[in-house]
Amino acid sequence: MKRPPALVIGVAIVALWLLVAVFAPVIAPHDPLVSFKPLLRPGAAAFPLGTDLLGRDILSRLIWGARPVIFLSLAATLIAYIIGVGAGLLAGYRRGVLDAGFSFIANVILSFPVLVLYLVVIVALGPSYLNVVIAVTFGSAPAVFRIVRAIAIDIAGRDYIAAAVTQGEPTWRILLIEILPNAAPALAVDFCLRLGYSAIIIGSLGFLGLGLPPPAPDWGGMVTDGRALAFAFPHLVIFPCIAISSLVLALSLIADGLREARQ
Amino acid sequence: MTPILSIRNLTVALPKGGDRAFAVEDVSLDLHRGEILCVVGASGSGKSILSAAVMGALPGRLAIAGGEIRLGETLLTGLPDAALRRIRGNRIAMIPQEPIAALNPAMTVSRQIEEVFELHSDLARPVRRARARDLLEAMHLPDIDRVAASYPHQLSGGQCQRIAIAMGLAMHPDVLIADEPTTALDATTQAQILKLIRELKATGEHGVLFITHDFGVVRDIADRIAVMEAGRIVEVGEAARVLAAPQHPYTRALLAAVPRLEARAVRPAAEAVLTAKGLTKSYGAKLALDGVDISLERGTTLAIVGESGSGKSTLARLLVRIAEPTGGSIDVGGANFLASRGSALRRSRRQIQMIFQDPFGALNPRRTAGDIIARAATLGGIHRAEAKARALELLALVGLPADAYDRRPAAFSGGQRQRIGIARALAMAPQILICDESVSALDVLVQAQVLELLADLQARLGIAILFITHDLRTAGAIADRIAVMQHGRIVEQGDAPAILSTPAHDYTRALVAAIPGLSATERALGPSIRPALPPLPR
Amino acid sequence: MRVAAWLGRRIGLLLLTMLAVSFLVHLALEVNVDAVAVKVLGQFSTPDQRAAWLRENGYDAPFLLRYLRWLGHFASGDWGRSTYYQEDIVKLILPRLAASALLAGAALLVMVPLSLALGIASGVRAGSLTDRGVSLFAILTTSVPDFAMAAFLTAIFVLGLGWLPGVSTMAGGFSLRELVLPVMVLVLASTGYLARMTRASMIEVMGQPYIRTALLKGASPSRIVFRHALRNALLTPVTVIMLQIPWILSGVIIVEVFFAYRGFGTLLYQAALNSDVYLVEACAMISVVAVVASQLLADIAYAALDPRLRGK
Repeated sequence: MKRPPALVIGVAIVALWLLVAVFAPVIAPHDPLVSFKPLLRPGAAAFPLGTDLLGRDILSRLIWGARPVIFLSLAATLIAYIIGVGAGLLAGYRRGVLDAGFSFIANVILSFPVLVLYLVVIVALGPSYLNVVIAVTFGSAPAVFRIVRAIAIDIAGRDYIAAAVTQGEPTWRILLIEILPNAAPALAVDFCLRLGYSAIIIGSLGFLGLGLPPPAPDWGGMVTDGRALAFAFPHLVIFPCIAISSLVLALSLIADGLREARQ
Repeated sequence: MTPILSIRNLTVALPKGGDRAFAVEDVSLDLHRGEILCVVGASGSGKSILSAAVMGALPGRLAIAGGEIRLGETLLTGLPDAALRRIRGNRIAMIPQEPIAALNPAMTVSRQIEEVFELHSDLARPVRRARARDLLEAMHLPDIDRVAASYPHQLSGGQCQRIAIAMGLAMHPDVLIADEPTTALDATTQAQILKLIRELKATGEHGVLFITHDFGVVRDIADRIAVMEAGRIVEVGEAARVLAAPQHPYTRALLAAVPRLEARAVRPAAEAVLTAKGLTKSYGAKLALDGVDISLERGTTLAIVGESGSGKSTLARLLVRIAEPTGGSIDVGGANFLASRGSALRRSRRQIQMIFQDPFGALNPRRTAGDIIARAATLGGIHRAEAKARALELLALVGLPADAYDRRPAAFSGGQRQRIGIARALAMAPQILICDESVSALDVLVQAQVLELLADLQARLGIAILFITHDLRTAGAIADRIAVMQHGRIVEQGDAPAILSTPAHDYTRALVAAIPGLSATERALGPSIRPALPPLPR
Repeated sequence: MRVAAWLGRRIGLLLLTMLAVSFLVHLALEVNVDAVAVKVLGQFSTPDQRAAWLRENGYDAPFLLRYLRWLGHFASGDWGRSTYYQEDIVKLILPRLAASALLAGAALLVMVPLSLALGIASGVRAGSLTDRGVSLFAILTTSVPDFAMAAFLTAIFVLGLGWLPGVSTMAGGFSLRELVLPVMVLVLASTGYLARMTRASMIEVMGQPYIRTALLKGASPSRIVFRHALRNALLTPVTVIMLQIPWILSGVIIVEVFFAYRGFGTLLYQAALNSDVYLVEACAMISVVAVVASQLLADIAYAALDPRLRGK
């Protein structure tokens, strides 16, 4: 199979950010919470991306800030996938009351604008890493469910599923061996997009100052912290924005590459 | 007489890396007014590409690599697109293969016909509308005003095909190209559309280039026949001559593969292995199946014949319990099949297996042929360790090589896939095979091979076969008994020779009469009326 | 008639959805009465004060009864008082809603024609240079979070070029110049996605047999696109635009906060920051009403565009 360039570039960038997040303690030149000289501009010795209002090293904060965005969105997306794929396969294959029930729940949750949903969950549960994961999972699982359900309905109508039924295959084998592998390519594309989407949401929650407790660095929070001074010191805002955009863009490129490779 | 359409040494190149270099290679043909020239070939023979080339509308990456096409005095090859547009729909018109899909779903029928006048004449809007109505009338459509204001989805396939033909005839074209115009239609509708096309020929105004794979249809309407194989014309000549004394071996093979309408010898009665009584299925208010009784005996074949919507596929799905009946009973091997549930049902399912219509949808594209068959063998009760050996045996039995074991469905042709489907069903050692239109998606030569395989397996293994088909010829070729279905009911059943030679029910008689290629067709449909087309708008 | 029955069913289902949503919102925010008391009276209130407040405000009733009472009040237009703003919520929300509607409306007005045009242009000739350009634009813009897009645009148009103001407080009355950046962010955030949807729909339609029929009739390429393809190809994007509304509303919150625009989004944001329970409830319900209404509009638009829905 030919590898589309978008896929290669995307994988490279995501792998880079993943390494940065995992090895943050090793890579970061400084402690992200320790104050040095405030408001150094980029290019200063020992502080290549400058320092913030409190004199903390921006590069180190970017490196550490990769952790919540990447780990939380990965966790939330994975959990959403486990729930959404399970419920979607079952609803799409079995149909009937079960499907109607699941679909109604999904519709109810999806009729919130995502951010409103997260605000309600955070106000109700209070801000914490765990609650951010819960909120994002809560918002993503119904969307995953819908996609999986639609694919499952399509595949369940094919003759090879009818053949499996007439052979007496148990339901779990039909779901996991006959349907899921045929849904996998489409789901791989969606997984990458959704991961990026979760990263956007977690960044946005950080930007709104909800969800991720300070002073631990996160990209969205860094934008908010720097906004007041952005007129004089745009680097406070621009670098974290580039960081999150590059991550999401890379995930989109992977999704696009996977889609292209499939055709 | 000079031909209205003349094709000389036409060659159409395929994109590089295909299985052959040319879609159409060095083809020369002439078409005269008042004549139907049938181009016959299997799928992939290049016959549709040929028709697209004549219309100057080759799909995307194909291009004419040599030769010329002349319409009367006009050289079509090399004509700029704007000039071609003035010819398409005007002097050459196309009758499509899938009539419903070929009409715009968001436009009324009348508007779609009026558009032809809008493109090719200066007629005013009210005149265009009146002419569209006249055309519909000439196509013998009922309830013209309602039809004219309808959207395609509100009409039947046969009605849509008449509308498409009306659209094609609007400008009184010199050449009509009909690309498999009846393949998507039921037998009785097909007979009517063929009659309509014969009537058009009789006007002497048009030359008809008729593309088909079906020698029955050819026998019905062709004046001359051109046989295509792999992009080349292998034989061309007067219809009577080609049909009676084919010269080329390929033509002979094609002709030999067409099932004759003659029933095989009926095998003696044995004990019933499958009995259904009063089988009923309703979807909401709609009754798909209405009290069907059938009985299938060991080692014999029962053909269920019906047109689309007759309920024959619903019957198949109920018998293998992919769908549950609303009422009635099914006995398999003397036991009440409908009573078993859960794991007991899963075990008893192996007795009755199904071969599906679409060879491309019936196999999981992610699994290898061997894995599919071996798994079926395991479910059929064979120990996992021996399943692979059994699968290899079955591959050999259905005439596939052993190296097919590790290949996925994409690596096989339609006929080969159907063989894999048969092997999968046999792996469960069933008593009964349900074949739901199992050969209708295959080319005629492959069809004959698969039918032969089924008959051979039946003789060797003593399996009972329920063969569901829309084609009486196929039914006659393999069945001991035939049941004819219409509107969810069995209207007539009995021994195959009796049904074919002396049908009792009106509907059966209509079906027999509609079989293309029989001299009976003409007689049963009565005298033809010449369609009175509205005059030329020039 | 079939359409009417179908719409009736849809409306019934949407009402049921709203009911379920209201229950969920109420459950999430008010099932724990002690937490409500803390949020309303503040962290430094004494347990006695809270108990007294709960009694006075009917919080000793069972949850289901409280929910029904709240629902009755909400339906009759009594949405309570904001604890943070110390004002009647209806009076507080209406002007803010109007401001946000202006913002979102302006964004839609630019976004819809732009994305349809881009999608059609790239879908008609898939694989062309235009198509590749639109795809790249779509991937880039959909990958940048709204707040980052706002930051980038501010850097370019405010800090770099100095053309536009960096905040949209509308302190000196309505100002079109202040509206440009927020609208631009919203437009960029969704245009790419909508254009891709339109493109996919257009490509699918262009491959249909009836498009070939039109070609074989002698129709010109532009006639094929505008008379035959467009109406069928617009079915998907029209629905998608409506379903995109929740996403645009999320964007509105971010954009309003970023540019300090005094709209519904900043109101909800302030309410969430200050645990203003009743205001959060009211805002959540309003946004769900907006979403559900847009879904209904999508259904109606679909029914109007697709004759196939009108039955046999």
